[in-house]
Amino acid sequence: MVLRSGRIFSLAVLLALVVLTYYFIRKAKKARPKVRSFSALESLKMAVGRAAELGRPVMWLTGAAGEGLYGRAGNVTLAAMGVLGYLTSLVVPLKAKLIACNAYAEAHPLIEEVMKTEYIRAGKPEMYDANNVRYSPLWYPYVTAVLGHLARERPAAIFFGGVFGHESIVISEPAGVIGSFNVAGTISANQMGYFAATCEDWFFGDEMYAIGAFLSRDPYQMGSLTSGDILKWSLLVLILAGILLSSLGSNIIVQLLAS
Amino acid sequence: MSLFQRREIVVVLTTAVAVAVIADYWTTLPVYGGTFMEWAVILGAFAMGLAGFSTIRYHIGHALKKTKGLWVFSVWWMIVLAITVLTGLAGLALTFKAEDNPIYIWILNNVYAPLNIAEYGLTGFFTISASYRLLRARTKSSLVFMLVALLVMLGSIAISEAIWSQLPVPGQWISSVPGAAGERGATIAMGIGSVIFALRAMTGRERGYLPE
Repeated sequence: MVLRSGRIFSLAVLLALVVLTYYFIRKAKKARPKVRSFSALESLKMAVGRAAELGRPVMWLTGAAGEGLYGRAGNVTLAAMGVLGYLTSLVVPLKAKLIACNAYAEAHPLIEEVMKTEYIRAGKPEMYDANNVRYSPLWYPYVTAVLGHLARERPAAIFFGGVFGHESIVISEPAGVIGSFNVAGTISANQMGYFAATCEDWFFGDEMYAIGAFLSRDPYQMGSLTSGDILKWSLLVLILAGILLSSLGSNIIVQLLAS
Repeated sequence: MSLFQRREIVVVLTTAVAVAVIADYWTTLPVYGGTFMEWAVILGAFAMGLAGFSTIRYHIGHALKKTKGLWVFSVWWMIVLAITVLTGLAGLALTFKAEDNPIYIWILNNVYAPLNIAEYGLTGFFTISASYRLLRARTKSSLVFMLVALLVMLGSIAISEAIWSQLPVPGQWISSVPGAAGERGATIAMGIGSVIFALRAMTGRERGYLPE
């Protein structure tokens, strides 16, 4: 058999998602779908303006807990780079300094390129400083390095993007103490409480994946968000059906999921 | 205009590799998706060199410029780097072991691990500090947050059971029923969001991380 057993249902879900995404992308060409705004993006804009007024830098940083771009959560680090591009586009006209801290070697060249591209796009390539893209591997050296940057350069706005372990609280709480305006974007469910306590605004869960589409204002990308919403509702119906059928003694949904 | 611009090359390669990896996961076809994963690790080693070079350049710059409040740390960083690299190479030459090098293991156990644990300990202090700022019940939502946090805390600590056997029950229920349900719902939504992000990346629509 060509298909691997036990993975057929998940393949069917993937194919359904591909078909739905294609359909809604085509549909979005005629009418752009409405996407709710993200308050955290407005907060970021405000925070960058505040940092420029105070003459203090803006910081963008990844977590150190994930597996970088290799792991299952690599996508969220890429999504956070979309926010980095947006932040760079905000700081350039205000002549503010942007520092990017990163714990993953394989992400380092991409981060450099994203920032450089935005400086070039804004017509200010001379403002790009490679020393503002900083790399420290592993949890302990990374946290130590970031805390050092916080103490010395006192950023007034910080965006935390990616997968986080408890570096979320170890970095974001001292950041709050030095008067930084913190915004977080993460899929790390067990760190969301920490970020809720220490950040002024946040993107949680699948919002992180939607930012790129929202920022681009590209109808194709925004159409893809609709397909995700439809699939979420479909899976919710499936879960409710599973609860009902299991209560009635049928395990048909369990068998379907395991197929 | 060039037929293949930089961004297009990236998109074509991304799509080709992603299709191979996906096909490897779901089918028994000989598409060798795993090989691409191994290539990614090798490419990552080159990126490690680039990132390492960038970090060395940063510290050399501050050491040469004698940046106030930083140059001493930059010099110290380079000394520690040199010691680690040289002792590692010496260990390799003496023992012919690239892995389980005894000198590296000594540095790891006696320098790195204690510092790591000490920094880990900071988590508790920062959690208390953040909790204090949060738990001042400035708004209705922070009041709810505070009450839930209090109940969950009571469900986790040993003393609450000593006070009254039923005291941990509400907190444990919050963690295991609404908390777990919410987390699973968020996990499903994140999974779907991630797949859609990947589809956009594979079709070249998601451009936030792509250079021009």
